[in-house]
Amino acid sequence: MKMERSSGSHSLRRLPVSIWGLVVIVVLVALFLPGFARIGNLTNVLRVGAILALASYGQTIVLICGGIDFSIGSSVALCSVVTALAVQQLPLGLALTVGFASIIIVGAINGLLIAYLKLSPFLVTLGMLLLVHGFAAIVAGGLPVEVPDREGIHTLSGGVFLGIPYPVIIAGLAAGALHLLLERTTLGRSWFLIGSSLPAAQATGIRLRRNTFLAYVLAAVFVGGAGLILTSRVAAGEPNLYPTLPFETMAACAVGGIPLTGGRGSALNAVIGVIVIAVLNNAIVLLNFPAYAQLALLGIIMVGAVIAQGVPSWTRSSRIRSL
Amino acid sequence: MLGKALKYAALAASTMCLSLPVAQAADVTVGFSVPSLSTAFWTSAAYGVEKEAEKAGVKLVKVDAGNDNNVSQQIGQIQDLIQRHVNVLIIGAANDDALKPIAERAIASGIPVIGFSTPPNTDKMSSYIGADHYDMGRLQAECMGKALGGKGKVAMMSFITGQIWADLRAKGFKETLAKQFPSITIVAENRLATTRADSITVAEDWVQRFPDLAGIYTTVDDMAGGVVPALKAAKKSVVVTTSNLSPSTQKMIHDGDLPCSSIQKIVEQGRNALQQAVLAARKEPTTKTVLLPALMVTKDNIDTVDLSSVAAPADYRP
Amino acid sequence: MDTIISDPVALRTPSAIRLRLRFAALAQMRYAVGIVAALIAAAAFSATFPDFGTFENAANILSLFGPLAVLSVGQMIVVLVRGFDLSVGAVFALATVITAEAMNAAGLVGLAAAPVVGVAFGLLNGVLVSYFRVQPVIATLGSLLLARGAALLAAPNGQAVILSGDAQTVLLNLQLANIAGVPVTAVFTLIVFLVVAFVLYATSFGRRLFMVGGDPRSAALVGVRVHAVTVVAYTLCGFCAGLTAILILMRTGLGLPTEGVGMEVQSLAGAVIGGSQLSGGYANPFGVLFAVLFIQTTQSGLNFSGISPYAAEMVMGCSILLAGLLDRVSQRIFRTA
Repeated sequence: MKMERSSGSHSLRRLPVSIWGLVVIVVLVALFLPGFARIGNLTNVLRVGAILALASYGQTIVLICGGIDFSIGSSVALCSVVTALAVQQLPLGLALTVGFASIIIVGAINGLLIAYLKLSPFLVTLGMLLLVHGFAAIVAGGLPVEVPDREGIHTLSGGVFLGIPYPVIIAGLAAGALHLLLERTTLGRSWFLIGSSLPAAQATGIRLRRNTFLAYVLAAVFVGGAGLILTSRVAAGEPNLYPTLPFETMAACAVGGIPLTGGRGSALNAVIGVIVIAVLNNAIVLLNFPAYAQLALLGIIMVGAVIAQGVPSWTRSSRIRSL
Repeated sequence: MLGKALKYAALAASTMCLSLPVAQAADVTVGFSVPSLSTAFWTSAAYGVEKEAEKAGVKLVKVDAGNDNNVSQQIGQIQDLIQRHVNVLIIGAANDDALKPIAERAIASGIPVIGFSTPPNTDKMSSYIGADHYDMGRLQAECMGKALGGKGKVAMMSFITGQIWADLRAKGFKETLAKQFPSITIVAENRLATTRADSITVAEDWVQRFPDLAGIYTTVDDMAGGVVPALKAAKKSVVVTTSNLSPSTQKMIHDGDLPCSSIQKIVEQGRNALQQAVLAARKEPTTKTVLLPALMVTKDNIDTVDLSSVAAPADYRP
Repeated sequence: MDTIISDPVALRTPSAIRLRLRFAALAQMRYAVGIVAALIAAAAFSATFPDFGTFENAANILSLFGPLAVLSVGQMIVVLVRGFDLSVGAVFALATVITAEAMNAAGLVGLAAAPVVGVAFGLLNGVLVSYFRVQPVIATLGSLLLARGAALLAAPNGQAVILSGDAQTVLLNLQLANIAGVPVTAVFTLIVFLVVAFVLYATSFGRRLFMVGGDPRSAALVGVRVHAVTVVAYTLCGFCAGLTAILILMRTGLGLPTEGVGMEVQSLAGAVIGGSQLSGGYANPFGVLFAVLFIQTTQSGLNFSGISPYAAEMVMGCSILLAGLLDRVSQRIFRTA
């Protein structure tokens, strides 16, 4: 119990650093970039950010457990392909459910292999990245499968409630759910223990395998939300929907202050990281730089943001970073 | 009778893993190498090649480098096809200069090469089948100019660099606008977005950055297929023009969401490519260049265009 | 304690020796996935296609596997010290562009630019990861974007850079050349692997790499400079990416700024099918060599058949899962025996 609390308070202590980073970046962008602070643009940022946010919540859970997930880019692609194929025979709602289920299945396979067979999360999810993408591409035949432009397919990604886009509402609610899951449930708290010290977790007698398995399944639930919104957004089954998603979620988590070493992290960390990445991506398009300079700049800013955050911690510990 | 016996003998020999030149098995094997079958263009091309191969009764081996960028992968795949002793190669190059050495190596080892749409940069090919990409860009510009009444701000989604066809279309578009519609200005060009999701994000950001944006040029309809519905959902009236004519693009033109698309007869090109390939494999004279004209499709003429020569049917899987 | 461990009689009994040999064999099992898989794939495809099981095709496969092999062995070195490098694909693309331009300006000497670019990015990654304590995923993702952007900026208008006349002919001829039937590029690749093996197994730096990967804290306690070793590991990986650029130049004769997308994942696949583990401490260059031979054999076989290339991707995915399983099984036997 004590350990859990200490890890919780530790993440609180870390939080201000990444929040300052966020504030600095947003202020700079708002000052120097015409059009950024417009409501319409901010809505864009949040709407795109919502997808990354949901996927990053999944990554957060897995990282806290000391794992990692490379397969989420392939699983959202699978979701879009399965949905687009299913919608040809089923009503839209049911087709989306089938697509969602496909992500849960990928998560469950990850969880089974990692929790019960004790395979390395890195190997399992890297294998699943290739396996699931290959499968989705073969099922789709390589070509984007169109979802017929029926009433409703764009609702999930394009709809608005009180001026707030649905994806943002969903991502907001999901952040709350993740917070409660991590801080208020024994399951969530056990993940911190599993991630920070496996022997300690074993000693407390928690159901190690079941809880690890559930971590991957619940992570898939969040990723499933991202998959559904993406599917609704492109209205097609695309095997190459979002191949960089796993790396972007890891970047978001790292920028938000979640170490890839396990045992630490919170919903707020993930939200901050996601907003930073989403703002940067948006700013780069708005700046209308020569296209190629955009990439280089994004890379520099991202690494810079993380280094700036890390400054206070260099002196604090001499722990060797590893994944 | 004798032919049948020979066939069985060949079959038996092949199962015994004996190295036997395929040409002796009387029929022709065509190797078909493309950068990526995940795009509407190459899928329609593959459809044309495949249908014609069925008709001609020849064997077809398709390889797909998996990505428009994967030059080195495509070279490796062609090397494999040469090893497999195909009788003729049809190549749509991911990069025309990079594919030159391997194409010339194939020709030197007795395998004729047919260039398709983006041919390897060599003059030793037996035949080249393609369309006028510059003209496709020009047609888009004319359509855009008319739809905008000759003035306004336009942004371009010009696809990744290193793709000759994409560069030619963009060039045709820019030069025609400058010449015929000097009051139209190009305010932004993006060459990073390739997936549909990326295209949507870039389009949404643009309409924020340039609130008076009047038009968006897209290189291929895979992009327009994402951009048009997204802008429609955001209730922005921006004129989008594109090239090619996949089933969903046809529908958008029908519904008036897309004023036009500049097209080429892709399926027809595929059929022609295979015909030339078979001729080359049988050492018969080939036509050096088969160039099919670019066409403009609008709501007015979409019902009269022979779609079977343009795009693969929606349920075709390469 | 000491006396028990070093008890000469206990260790010399035949059963103890046999047991120890078994342990040693099991510990090596993880590295055998590649060679077994490669043999199975080669046998299966040879039975299906008459032209597959020939010396000619073996030479073909050997001439194709170089770039991924060299990239993977570099990746293996950083995985050994508990990292990974997502930038390798973009870095070798940048290296092909810079090298092509250098060769156009200075002739064949310009070839030296390739390893220089690779080393520069490896050094950057290593310093970020060790001294600045940036997580490997962020550091190498950042360099990926930086290298890709730089490659597009360095190439005029983002287009491929064509090697002019002589230099191109020389390189392309090297790609075609062979020594006693073995392609020159394969010889080049084998030399890289032998050098890496020498560094790992026959130098004190190699031992330090294993120590840092196995247990960095203990390594630091016995005086190993963990940060410096990590930097060198990333630098070696960057160097390998630079060498890969030379192989790509030999194949295409062009500097290609957009090449190499997805190669980072493939090189990771090559490293882990070859027996590396992300928690560090394991590496065997020959395991990686055969793993990449297996990947190339599968791809070539599927190219022969015209089956979707995505099937090759699925086969690769399954092999990684199998490698993980085998790893787990060998660990288990190790512990309970």
